[in-house]
Amino acid sequence: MQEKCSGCGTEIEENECVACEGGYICQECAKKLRILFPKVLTWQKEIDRAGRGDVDVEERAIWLDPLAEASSDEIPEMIKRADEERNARRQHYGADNRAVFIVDDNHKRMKYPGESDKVLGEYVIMGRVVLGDISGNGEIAVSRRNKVYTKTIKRVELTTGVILTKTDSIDEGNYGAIVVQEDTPFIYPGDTLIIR
Amino acid sequence: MSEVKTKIEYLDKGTCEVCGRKALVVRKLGAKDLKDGSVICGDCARKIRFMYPVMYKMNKQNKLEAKDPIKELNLDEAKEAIGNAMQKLEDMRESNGFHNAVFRVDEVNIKKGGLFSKPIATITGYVIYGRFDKAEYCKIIHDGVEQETRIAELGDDYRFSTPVTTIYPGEAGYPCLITIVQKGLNIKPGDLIVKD
Ligand SMILES: [Zn+2]
Ligand SMILES: [Zn+2]
Repeated sequence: MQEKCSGCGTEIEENECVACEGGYICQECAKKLRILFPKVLTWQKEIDRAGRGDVDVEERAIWLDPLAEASSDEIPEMIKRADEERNARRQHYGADNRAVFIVDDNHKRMKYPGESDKVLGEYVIMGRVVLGDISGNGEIAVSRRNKVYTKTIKRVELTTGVILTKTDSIDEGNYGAIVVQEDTPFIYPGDTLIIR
Repeated sequence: MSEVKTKIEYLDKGTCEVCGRKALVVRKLGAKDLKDGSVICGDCARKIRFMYPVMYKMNKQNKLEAKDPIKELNLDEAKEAIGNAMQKLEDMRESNGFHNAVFRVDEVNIKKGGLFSKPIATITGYVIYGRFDKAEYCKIIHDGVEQETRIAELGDDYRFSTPVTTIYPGEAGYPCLITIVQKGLNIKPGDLIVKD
């Protein structure tokens, strides 16, 4: 079924867009809005109450989309605010940089049973893209008091909340992982990485 | 046959009052209840863990029990700590010769090597800042003299009855156990293991 995007008015297919309160948002408008409205990860479990007391049935990670709760008539204003925020961040971080990433965690890839030894030695930097998109090439840079440290990006991955999967790009506003080949002991939780 | 009723339970403590994400309580994701009843997520807690290391004290059963100083903060204090964390980290790096990671040695047990085997040193201590992992090269600083070494194994410190609540052992602000297999090792309590 054809619908109109509440943001830009483009005709869109219902299955290719994000449903919001009283309307739909096309992929492009949704991508623009992620800088202010990131998806939120939570976990839920289903509890069996079949008279045997509470027995855990299943635990799963799910992503909640705050855009689903936005009302369609607010979308154009929200896009305007997102654009303003993007410009402010460009000014703040430097417009020449391709992207900016805030680090949550940085660890060595653990080898899971059955996996090849090749993954050992990779380092995984988890976090969120706060400006721009990050593709599987380029370089990360972090400014410390004594010097600027850099490393080449090997690959980028998206998180389901449980596992990481290879992707072409972590888009603005999304959570994911930057994978590098060598150790990055100079990167800490809370760091701001500049992608060049 | 009675119908199996299930209910859904969310595995979070609500929204983190610092970053807006869900404060997850599954799989060592470590949401923290603060002193004033507010909640922060494990990712926010990790950013300040090096400033508030997990402490252990002997309980009445003669077992070591974890004490988390982050839980003694109120929300304003936690926010302030997170805001200052990078500056504090730079100060720590500077006062430690800009090493990327520092581990303080508390106890050393050396199993003597034989004709065909190298001695095995089992070292317990704290990660002061940064992160350590298995198979990584680092240096021991013993009486001001640096010695190259490599971590053979790294894991949770077995002396503690409460399991260490990190996803990956070797994180800042937690005790851990490091095994080094090497001849001619000079190491004693009070020494540092560092990564550059
Ligand atoms: Zn649109
Ligand atoms: Zn948080």
